[in-house]
Amino acid sequence: MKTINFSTVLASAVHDIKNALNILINNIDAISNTTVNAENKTELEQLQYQGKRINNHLIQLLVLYRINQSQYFPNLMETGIKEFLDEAIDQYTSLFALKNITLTVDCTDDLYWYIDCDLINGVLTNIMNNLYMHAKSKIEISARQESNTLILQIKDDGFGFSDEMLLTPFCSQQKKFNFNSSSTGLGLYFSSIAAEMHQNNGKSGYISTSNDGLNGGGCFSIMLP
Amino acid sequence: MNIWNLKNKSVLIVDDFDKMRLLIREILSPLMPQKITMAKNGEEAIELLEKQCFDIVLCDYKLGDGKDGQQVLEEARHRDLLKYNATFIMITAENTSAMVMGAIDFLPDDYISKPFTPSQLQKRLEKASRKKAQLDNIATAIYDKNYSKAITLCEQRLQESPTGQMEVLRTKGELLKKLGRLNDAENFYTSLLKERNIPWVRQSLGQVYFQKGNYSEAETQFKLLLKDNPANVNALDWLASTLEKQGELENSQNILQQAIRRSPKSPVRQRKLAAIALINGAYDVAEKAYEYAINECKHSCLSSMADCSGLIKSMIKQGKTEEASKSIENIQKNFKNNPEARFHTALASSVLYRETNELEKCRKNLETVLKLINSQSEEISTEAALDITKNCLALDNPELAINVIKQLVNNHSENEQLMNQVRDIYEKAGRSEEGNAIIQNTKKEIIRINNEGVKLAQDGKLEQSIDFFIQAAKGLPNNATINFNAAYSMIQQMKKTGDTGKYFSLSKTLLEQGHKIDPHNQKYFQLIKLVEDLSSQAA
Repeated sequence: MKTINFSTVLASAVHDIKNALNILINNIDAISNTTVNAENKTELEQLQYQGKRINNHLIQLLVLYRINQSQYFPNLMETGIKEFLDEAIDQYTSLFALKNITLTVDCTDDLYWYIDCDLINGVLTNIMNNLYMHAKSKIEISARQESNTLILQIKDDGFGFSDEMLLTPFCSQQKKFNFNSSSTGLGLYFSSIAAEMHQNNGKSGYISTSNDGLNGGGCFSIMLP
Repeated sequence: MNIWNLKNKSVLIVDDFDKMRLLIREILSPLMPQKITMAKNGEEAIELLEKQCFDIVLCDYKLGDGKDGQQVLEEARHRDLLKYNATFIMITAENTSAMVMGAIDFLPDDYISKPFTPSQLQKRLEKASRKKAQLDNIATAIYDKNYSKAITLCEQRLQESPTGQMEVLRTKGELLKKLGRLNDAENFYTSLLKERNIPWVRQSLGQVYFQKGNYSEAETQFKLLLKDNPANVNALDWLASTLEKQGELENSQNILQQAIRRSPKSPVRQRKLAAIALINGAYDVAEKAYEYAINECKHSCLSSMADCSGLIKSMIKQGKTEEASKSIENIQKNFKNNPEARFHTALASSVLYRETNELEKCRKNLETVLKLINSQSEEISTEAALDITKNCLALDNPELAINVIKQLVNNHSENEQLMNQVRDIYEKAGRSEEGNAIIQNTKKEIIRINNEGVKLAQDGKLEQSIDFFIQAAKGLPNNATINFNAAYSMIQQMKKTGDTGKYFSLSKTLLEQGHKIDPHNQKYFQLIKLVEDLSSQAA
């Protein structure tokens, strides 16, 4: 039997799944827009959320697979960070509104940085999916440049990270991620790899987590050179 | 409430999945575009682009068996099927965006990853249109061939808002290269690289060194690019060209083979590999690459039936004459309605029968070839012309193709390498004097024509000189000197009258034609600078 090229099979399967997901998410969106019944609306939003989770995991799996196979090379493009964040957040506003969680973005219009949009979008989506479960009423996203680094921060007013999820900037590379307890482990692992793929002038990106968020909630930071 | 809209805009949606097409149409309808057209594959998209002008093209990267989105974009840009201010957005899955953005020479205006929500797509479109509008004055200046003005506009824009101007930076660099301001371009790219190692900047810098003939420095840059990303096929292509220029043909072939393993769907790359492999004696490699390039004719405009002869030659070299004749039959069957295929398969057959010494069959096919030349207006390639000449000489009948060879020498008399090939062919047939005579006489005739035109200009009869050269350029479209001389007379006329309007664009077209024929001729850069100076004085 001819050996198959798994990476090709994967790529083509993902393509089909993405088409299906695209139709699914858009159809739910369309139904949701015409639904007045609040209960139905909540259920539809739940479906949306699950669709986004499937997509998010699909991206993570594919990217991690390709990195593992040394097939992923970051595509760093100069990107308007404000616009990028607005767009990434936009698809979550209605979802979070249902739970009365407000989202704010603090970033100046003229902040541009070299990022791999697919990777960072994957990082953001992952966090938003988690915060949908954990945040109480408020999420603050901010981006700024400090010396030669872009700092992206997401603070929430939930219970914060558990001890094993806490990563200081210096230990993130060595930390063993626990994939058994929850999906957060995989998410953080993905985020740290995504950060590391960003390199400039000999420096690599990294992540950190702390409980310096709002009212003792979580604070996730990603630093990109 | 949508403030931004698509009023008066026509949109083309290309996707092989019918539900996706309908979905995108529904997303765009509220934006009130003038017209939405849909295509279910790349071939249909190209047909529509040939007939209509679209303001926005939304195209999926994966389009089933035929052309993919990247090939649609390449063909559209290559054949000028897109308006200069049209927006092309590629729809990708995450796993293809790097591939699309990696094809540095043919970039879409933006790309959007699936799955997307209606508002995401609308915002992406709005962003792309806004960007286009901001750069509209620069695009217009380039469209008018007003390159110096376009550079000034780029610089203004960079001063006004220094961040987020990748498009402008790229454009400025390209224009500097186009005007032959290679030192300026080198400094420009080097200073950008000091701040950050950006792949497209390094690639452009390597190209500048290549253009300067500094191949070792170009090689360094392309190798650095590949260290960061071994999958960068553009860098592999450029590295191969750089090695070829340095005479390292084996290495060049190896690099091209690497590039083809990563990305086989490029007929240009396959053809380049085939040609080098043929020289290197790697006939099996050449055969495979030619075959691929020919089969891509169904999908890509960059492909050509002219590869038939190469394919047949690489098979003959391996002693596979029977397979070769079967291959020709297959190509004839597969490309039944392609007039180019008729010409090139006949030519390939005559080459094959010359090699097998079946001269009667060789002659018959050659007659078909010559008949087809007379009935088509398009010029034949140098390769084909050389093959035809060889065949005629093998048949001991040089008169048969005398027009073909004269035309070839006429068009390329300044290309010494090619002239040597012609001499060689005649010498091998024991007719070296005849070959030399053809070349000498043609050269004399061209010099006479040029002298006559220059004389008219010197006598102050500039308008007459211009008319004369334009007429001569029609007969000798591939002669760089005539194109340059025609432009030079126009420049003098513009200087004299102070009116740049009449000849500004035409002189640039002629210069660009000459530059395309003979890229190493420095006259192009000298003359284009004169035109640019004139236009800035006028402004």
